[in-house]
Amino acid sequence: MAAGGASVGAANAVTDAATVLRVNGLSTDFATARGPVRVLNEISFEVRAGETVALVGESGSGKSVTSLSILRLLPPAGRIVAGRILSRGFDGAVVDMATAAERTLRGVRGAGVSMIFQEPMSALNPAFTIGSQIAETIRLHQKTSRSEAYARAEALLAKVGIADPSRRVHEYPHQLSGGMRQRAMIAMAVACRPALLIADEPTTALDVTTQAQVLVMLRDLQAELGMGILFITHNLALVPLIADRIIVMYAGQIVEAGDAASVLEAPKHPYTRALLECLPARHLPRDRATWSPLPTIEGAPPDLADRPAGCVFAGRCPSVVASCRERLPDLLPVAGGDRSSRCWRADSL
Amino acid sequence: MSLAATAPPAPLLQVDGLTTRFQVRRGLFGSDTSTVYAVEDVSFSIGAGEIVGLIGESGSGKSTVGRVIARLERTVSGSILFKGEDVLAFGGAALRRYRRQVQVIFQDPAASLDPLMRVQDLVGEPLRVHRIGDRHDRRDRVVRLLESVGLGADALRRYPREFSGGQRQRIGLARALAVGPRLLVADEPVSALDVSVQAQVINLLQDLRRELGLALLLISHDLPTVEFLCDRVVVMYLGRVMEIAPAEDFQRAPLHPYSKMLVEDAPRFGGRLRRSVRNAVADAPRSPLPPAGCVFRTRCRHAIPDCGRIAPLPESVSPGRFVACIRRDLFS
Repeated sequence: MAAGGASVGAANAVTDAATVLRVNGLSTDFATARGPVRVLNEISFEVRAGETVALVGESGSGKSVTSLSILRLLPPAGRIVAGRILSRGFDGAVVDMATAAERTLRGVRGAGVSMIFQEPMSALNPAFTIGSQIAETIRLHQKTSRSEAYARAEALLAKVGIADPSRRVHEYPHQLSGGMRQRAMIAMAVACRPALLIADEPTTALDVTTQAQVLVMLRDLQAELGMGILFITHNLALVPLIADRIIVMYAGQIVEAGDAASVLEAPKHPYTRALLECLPARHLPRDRATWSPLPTIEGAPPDLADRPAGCVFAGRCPSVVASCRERLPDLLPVAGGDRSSRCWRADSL
Repeated sequence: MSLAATAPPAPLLQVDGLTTRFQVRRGLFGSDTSTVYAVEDVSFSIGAGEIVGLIGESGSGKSTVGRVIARLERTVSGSILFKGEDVLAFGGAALRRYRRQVQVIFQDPAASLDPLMRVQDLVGEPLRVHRIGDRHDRRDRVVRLLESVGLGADALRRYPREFSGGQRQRIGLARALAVGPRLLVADEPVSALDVSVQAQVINLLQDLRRELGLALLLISHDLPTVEFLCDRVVVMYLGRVMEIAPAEDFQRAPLHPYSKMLVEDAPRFGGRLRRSVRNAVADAPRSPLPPAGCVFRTRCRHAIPDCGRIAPLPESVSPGRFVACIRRDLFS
């Protein structure tokens, strides 16, 4: 099944060993002063072992709420109201994260599914050494002696490209550079060989040279550990470098999904197309005299508390027709491979 | 040393040999003081109506250069000439006049807008401070300023929190434009914005240059934005200028080994990830004291022993193009 296949209920289990995450019909609400607001609306996709799926969208699209829902780390106002999130615990057992008890969740987080963030200090405790934090993660999920856990922490630091790991293992987060902290956080995240790694804008705060190193390192770790990666980013230019498949989100819905290269080459949803057109990299002037303005997306995303009846992008869409404002299109397969688009006119784009 | 002679338009701003140092206290109770060379011997110029991009990684000193130009930071030596006048000697009325002509905007528009002030007061404040017009006149100007950045008069009585990130950046721009500056120093003006909003602000900056003849120093780490918007590019690393080039030439072929590394590592469509981490050169040094000689040599795959002895300054290699590297054989 392609990422974002709309058939909720067709797959009620992680059916084969190759699937590390299956999200089915996931809807999440946030409580507001005006009542509950649907911020995720029937999200379905899967991530297979060894592949990287890029989850792309602008602020308010729901990409971060998706990752927080998967790990059940939503803030108190957030609540999963429908759907299943099938992932794997440390022992490989299938867990529905949407309904699992807190005790079960603790066995999954950091072991079967782990997460890295934009800001490493949100995952690292400033009061403990790097080594003790990695060793603690290992000992939380596995019966291991302290000294063995430390030895493994040191080996992990070496693996993520930290020079002099036997010294660094005894250092505190503030003693490391930003790039090194990012690596230490990644070492901690993969310490228990997770089946799925959720990477939420892991390189956004880094310089381009450090970013390139971290991306290469993630790819090498993936090749070695076979984990699936859900890579959340707003930076479309990263997608062809790292992702096998792409999921584009807009206003809490998946609007397009499929093979990363084909989606970026020939998008089948007007939003994906417009987003790619906004990038300055695609319009570099040959000489300064022929400069012309960048294409922009007019208008603003819809108010999630007052969802339009039809397509969520209709208000800003250059290809809009009357039916778009009346009925919400399903996320349906489009011609030309393993792809889908939530647009009535996908095949004519 | 003067790089101005080769800049195409007559320089509006001329920075020469600019050096800024910070004292850093280290150790228990800050017992140990050492000097960090934040910016060392930096020279470049900005022409009237020109857009110059200042790029480099964190720690390159690019923001410090912007702050020094805006007179928000002290200098140790060097000079800044604005329309031929010595900016660093300005005080009192002359400094106020200068600040009308050189305005700054920062990455986070929310942080530079007082949340308790309405938009009409935020944009009108610079007019009041600089005693421009009477009250009615100022109100008209504020409406026109908001219009010029694409905001309607309905914004006047609202507060910053009622606007999106892109709209707040526009309010910041309207505020900066209120006093009719000739030069805008923009430190990462679009980095915090969504892709679709970035495009709108980039277009707005270009329009301002075309319609008002506004010069722009665009400080950014985002290469495509700089290449799209700028006439010339200045590349900095650990406080030094590595390369100055017309944007088209830079886009076609960066010359300094550091510029090349920046361009190679910037994600691009059609680009590839490097084959292995081991090919990657080391991180930038963290020590407050940069390496002796060329500051980039510790990461440079072309470094030779002489690079440890000579700290090269940018030298002309072709019209309008300056490279600070002794390995002339690499790019001649």
